[in-house]
Amino acid sequence: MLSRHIQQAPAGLASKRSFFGFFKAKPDANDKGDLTVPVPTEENRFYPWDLSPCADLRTRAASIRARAKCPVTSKPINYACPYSGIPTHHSREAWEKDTAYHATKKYETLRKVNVFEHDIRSGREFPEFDFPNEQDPDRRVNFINWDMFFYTRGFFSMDTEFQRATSTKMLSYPLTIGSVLNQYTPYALEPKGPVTLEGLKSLAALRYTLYPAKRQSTWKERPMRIFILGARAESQLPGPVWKQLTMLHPGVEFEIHFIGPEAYFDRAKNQYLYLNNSKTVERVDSTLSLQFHTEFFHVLHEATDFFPYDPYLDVFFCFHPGFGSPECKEMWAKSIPALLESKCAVFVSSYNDEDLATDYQHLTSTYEKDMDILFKPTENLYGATKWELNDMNPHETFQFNQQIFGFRGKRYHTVHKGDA
Amino acid sequence: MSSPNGYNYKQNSYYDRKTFRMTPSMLRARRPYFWKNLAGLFIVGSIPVGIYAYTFNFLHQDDFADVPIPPISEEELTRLKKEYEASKN
Repeated sequence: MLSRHIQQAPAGLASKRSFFGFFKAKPDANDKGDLTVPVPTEENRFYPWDLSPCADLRTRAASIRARAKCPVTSKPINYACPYSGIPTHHSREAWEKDTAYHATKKYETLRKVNVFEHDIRSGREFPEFDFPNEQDPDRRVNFINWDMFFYTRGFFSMDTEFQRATSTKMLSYPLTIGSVLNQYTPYALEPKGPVTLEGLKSLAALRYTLYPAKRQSTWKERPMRIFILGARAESQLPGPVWKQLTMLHPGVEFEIHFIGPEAYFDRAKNQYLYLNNSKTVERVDSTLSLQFHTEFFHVLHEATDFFPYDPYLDVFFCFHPGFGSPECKEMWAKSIPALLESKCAVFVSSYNDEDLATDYQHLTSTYEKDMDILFKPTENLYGATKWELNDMNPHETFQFNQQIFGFRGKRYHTVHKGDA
Repeated sequence: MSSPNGYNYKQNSYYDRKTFRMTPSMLRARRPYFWKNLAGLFIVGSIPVGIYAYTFNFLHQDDFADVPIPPISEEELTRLKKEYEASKN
């Protein structure tokens, strides 16, 4: 009897499918990944990046080793963290010494980066990309969070975090716009939420356009324009993804303008193109057209291509512009005054807290007198749930559109009438 | 396959096809409302339960002492008692 028990015990411990999940220790490097399994889990999507079956992830691991520096020793990275499978430190000693890394459980986030990247390349079925059609007018869309949105909008039931990650990375762009502008926005007025009184004025003007049934007066007909400045990934999203935004506002015509040197990507040539003619138009259907402009915004602004601006019909979105980052500051120096001059609402998203703080600090210190804050810096409820990492520094993890804030050029000035 | 109102029942099944239980996605979506829904259930449920309890309590207060019992003679009573004892044994 006793010997049988002893023989069984190790088999039970080695079992991968742990029934008592909460007893499980930290994930370890012994997990054997298998990308052919149709249902993704953290275990079967885990490979060390150096030994990944995907060539591009092996290349990425090599580029981290080549370019990034160890946070402890400041030497080149030469040791892959066994929990996350991503090269993070110079040596095992440095990895052990990095108490902040272990205390903040950074390896868990890095492991997420690892498994999400493998899951995308696994070639499993992606039923989450079957997007729903027009919304039935009797069904309200609830914007309280991603899950409720997916449920009320009739998306595929996204049961695993992998399905959420792949779909939210795409839908984050249209939904960040949609959730801010919609009348059932999850963002409340101050002090309960981030929207300031000035912000409510701007949003009310935009909602006047978005809800034609509630308009009181006659209306000049022109499509609503959404300008996306410094467009990169978002300009490559296919039309059906942007249709998800317009389906939230039936009966309104939209023009989405992608502006910036990286706004037009040619898949055949696999490079960003500079368009000689002023723009390229891609019409998705009768209510939505995508327009690509490969100039900087201030060039188009000075050429008065978009005049006149109308705060009721135009809104600007900048997805991770890096207003205050040292690399991009110069490029934005001319465009920000042009944005403020338009007097239209501008919403800005950021990769993480630090990115947001840099942008916000830069704007508030440089343009303090010329702008109103519409939307206090806050966490974006419609940010991507997929974790990403910076190849230059694998300890810097971020999510697309994680944070958001809004501003606008001041529309009036108060006048001092003496001290009497 | 899409139904006329645009809701895709085939793909968007938020109930497990075999067990008919809610999927994890739906449970996550409903989580913010769970405690409020439960409180609502108690408030709404307390109305019929309260009515039933009140009725039950009220009817038990009824006093039947004033109900007249038909008169019966002594001989009749002893005869009936005997009959009862006999049937018991």
